[in-house]
Amino acid sequence: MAQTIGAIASLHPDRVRTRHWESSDTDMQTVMDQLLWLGSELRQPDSAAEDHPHPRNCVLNVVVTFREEQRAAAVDRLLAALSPAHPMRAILLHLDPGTEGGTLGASITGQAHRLLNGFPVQREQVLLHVRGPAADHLASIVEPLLVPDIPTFLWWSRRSDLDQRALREVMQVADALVVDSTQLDSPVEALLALAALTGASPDAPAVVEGRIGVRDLQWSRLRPWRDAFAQFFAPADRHRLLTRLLKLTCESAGASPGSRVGAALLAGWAASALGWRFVRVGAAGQSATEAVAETGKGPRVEVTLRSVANDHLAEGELMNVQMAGQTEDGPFAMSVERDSGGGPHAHVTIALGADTIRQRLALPRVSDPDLLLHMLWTSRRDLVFESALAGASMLLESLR
Amino acid sequence: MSADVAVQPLVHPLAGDMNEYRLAEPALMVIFGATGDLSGRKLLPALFNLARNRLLPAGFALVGAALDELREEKFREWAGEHIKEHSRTQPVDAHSLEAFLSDLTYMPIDFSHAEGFQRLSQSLSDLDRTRHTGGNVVFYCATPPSTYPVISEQLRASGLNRGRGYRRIIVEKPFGSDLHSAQELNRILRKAFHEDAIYRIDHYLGKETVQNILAFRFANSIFEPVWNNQHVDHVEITVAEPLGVELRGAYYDRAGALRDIVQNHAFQLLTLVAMEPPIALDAGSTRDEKVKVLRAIRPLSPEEVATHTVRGQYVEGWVLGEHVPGYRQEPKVDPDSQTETYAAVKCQVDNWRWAETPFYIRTGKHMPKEVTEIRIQFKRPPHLTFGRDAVRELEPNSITLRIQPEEGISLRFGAKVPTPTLTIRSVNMDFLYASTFLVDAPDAYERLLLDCMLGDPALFTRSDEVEAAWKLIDGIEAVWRQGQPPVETYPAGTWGPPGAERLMTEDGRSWHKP
Repeated sequence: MAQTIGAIASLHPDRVRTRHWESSDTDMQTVMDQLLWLGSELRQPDSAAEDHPHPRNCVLNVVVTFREEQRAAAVDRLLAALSPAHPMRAILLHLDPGTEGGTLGASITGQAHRLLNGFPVQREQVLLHVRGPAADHLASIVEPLLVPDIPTFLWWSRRSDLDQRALREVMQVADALVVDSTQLDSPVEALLALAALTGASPDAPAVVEGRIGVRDLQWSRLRPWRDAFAQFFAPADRHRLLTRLLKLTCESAGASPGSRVGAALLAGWAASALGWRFVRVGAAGQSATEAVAETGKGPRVEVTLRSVANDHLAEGELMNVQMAGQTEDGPFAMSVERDSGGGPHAHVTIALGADTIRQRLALPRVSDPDLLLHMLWTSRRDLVFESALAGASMLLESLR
Repeated sequence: MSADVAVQPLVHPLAGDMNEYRLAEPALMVIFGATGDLSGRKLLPALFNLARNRLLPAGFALVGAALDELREEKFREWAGEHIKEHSRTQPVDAHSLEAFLSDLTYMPIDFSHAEGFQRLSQSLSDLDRTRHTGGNVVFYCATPPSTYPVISEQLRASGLNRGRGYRRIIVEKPFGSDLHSAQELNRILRKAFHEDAIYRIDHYLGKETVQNILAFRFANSIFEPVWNNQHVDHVEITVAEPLGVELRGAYYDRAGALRDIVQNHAFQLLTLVAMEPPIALDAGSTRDEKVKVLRAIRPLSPEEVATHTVRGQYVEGWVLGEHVPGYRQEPKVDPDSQTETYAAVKCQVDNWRWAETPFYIRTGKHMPKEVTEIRIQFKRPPHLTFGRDAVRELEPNSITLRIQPEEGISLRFGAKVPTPTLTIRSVNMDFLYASTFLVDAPDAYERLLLDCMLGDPALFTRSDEVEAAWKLIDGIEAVWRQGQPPVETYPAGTWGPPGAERLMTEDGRSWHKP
């Protein structure tokens, strides 16, 4: 990613200390007491006569919810990969509201290690199995566990939609909601729900008012494509082309309307940034969506989102983006096409007057931990993403 | 009645490296209400830990005195069980415990009968003779406040308030229920004991972190210059607990949050944050400065009480993952009770240092988490040169003094995010007691019991402090009794009623999320 600060360093096993506690039937007070105790246990070996041990080393709270137990291991691996760069307190919530009994199971892992430069890093992870009606009152469980004064990211890793009561509960104590819309059962509905949360949709609840940021890993994956387009217009003599666009076409892998969500976000980004207003949006068969946007100063822009069958790419991944326009000096066009041979790059073709320029755009496969890393490092709110969501809302509605 | 003479820690050639232990003179202690909750959960474990650390004076013995008809062996057994359960040091060392329990005696006593105090007098004389305690005795009233007058009077009538050595009395809060009752209690206690021998215990003052407020302010040169209205925007004091009234419904329904917490704990924290540097850290100088702060707090007019205070009462909700009933459904609480379980007050300290810098106090039961903290929020810089986008997530500087849990201090300031663009975000610099000193801080009661035996009342509340605090509280209570502002409800497990938010938002501020 263009702005990634650095790839995640791996842990050196010899330098890791771990403490663990678990109980299948416990209560929150015990969990909090044990968390404190494990923390002090981890700190003890760092003390030396001539040296003070490290202070609290925690830069964020991460809350992860999931219903499928097998997700726990995957989430654990991902957070473990993040922790060298982001000392954190992670709260994993395995929700099972239907189970009778209303008991709480807990497992706490404290992990401290030193990187090679001697800087200490710590991860505290609390896995809670919340059973019975308490699963509908998660704020009362999560809030006491949060380290104060640092951002709290809620990572909604469940596959179901974003209108769950559990989500609303935890969002009360979170600063930012993180999802990967490609992993949700219904990406279209997920993004519309996100739009509502940010106030980017007419259905936005007034209570949100920008208090909570929303982030989407899928949006982060679009970054190289957005960079390529933004850079095309970077030279001062090309600024005027921004109001001369006539066409934007985005193709993504798949067949269903849901596969066009990333494409819709990219078009929504262009629309919000350039002041377009969609006046007509509709399906063009099963595999395409067509829209027309008014631009105010310039001509109307035709936007096409198309699904294209592809056996090598995951559903929704962008394959090809093209734009074209016309000035008094002649036409201009740019296309960014993913390498058909499966290489980690795209071919960029720019046609500007009589010139044709060919470039290569790196499309490295960025791991989820790296995407999360960048997201956690930067702001809680991504105003560009929120604007893109607003810009894409009509397109998304048409994908329903 | 004899004036108490403050006893200096042992000063002799062999005590050269013992200052940190602060050894007190030999003494006896009597706990009235020795079989009660306070005794079992706090006092006996604290005394045990003092003994374990060899901080109790030589010859120390404890006489437990309570209504229960117990044999001495049973009392020791009961004490041992409670120490094992509640001691901060675990596991409890069996030999240390056995040695400590051997210094315990017990006698049933009816506070309303002189006969029991005569027996007590005889018992103390016998112990003094065999243990060479110089006639020094501390009387601890771990009993309901209503018994303080009768115990004090019986001690006077039986002559136990005077004699060879010192005689001191410790009483627990609440010190009265309003100004009048506090003055009356002070008058009665002073009939038997000199003011210097009356130790009013507010255990908050015994906490290491509370004492550290003074160290933080007056042992560092970088904070005090900005500790004033020129730089501080406002101060927030939060005393929140997740518990409800539990079994204290009968008491709590008469007291409420304002009397139970604001009058003592919260005002004590406020005075330590706002006070001027004392000329020395002795009891007189420190307490003089604290009283000055209380007297500088502007009494609220009836109109201001309606707008500068908030009272709330919890209704059913979820706390720590468990469903809890509303306050009016608690045992021994009036079903139509108007008692507040949440109180917020905006105070103005009218002096040169703090004029126009408000102090917001909030306290409540069934809050989302246990937290006691003081947040000093500084003003924003007069001009930010970085552009709006760069400072979008930058909060004003602040210092948070965390009293409990996870005792420590956090300094919050802006730092550039290491990206190619200029983005500034708030970050923390944290100091945690547990990480830095790697020892368990002594429990507040350990410190305070030892201080009392040493004759050091600096961390105890003086009568004029108590009365100054009640004067402020009475002014608020008088208006509250007339229904202004009305009691608002809040679901258990939340940060209080809507009025609490209004109190801040109307000033263009918001509460810090602890």
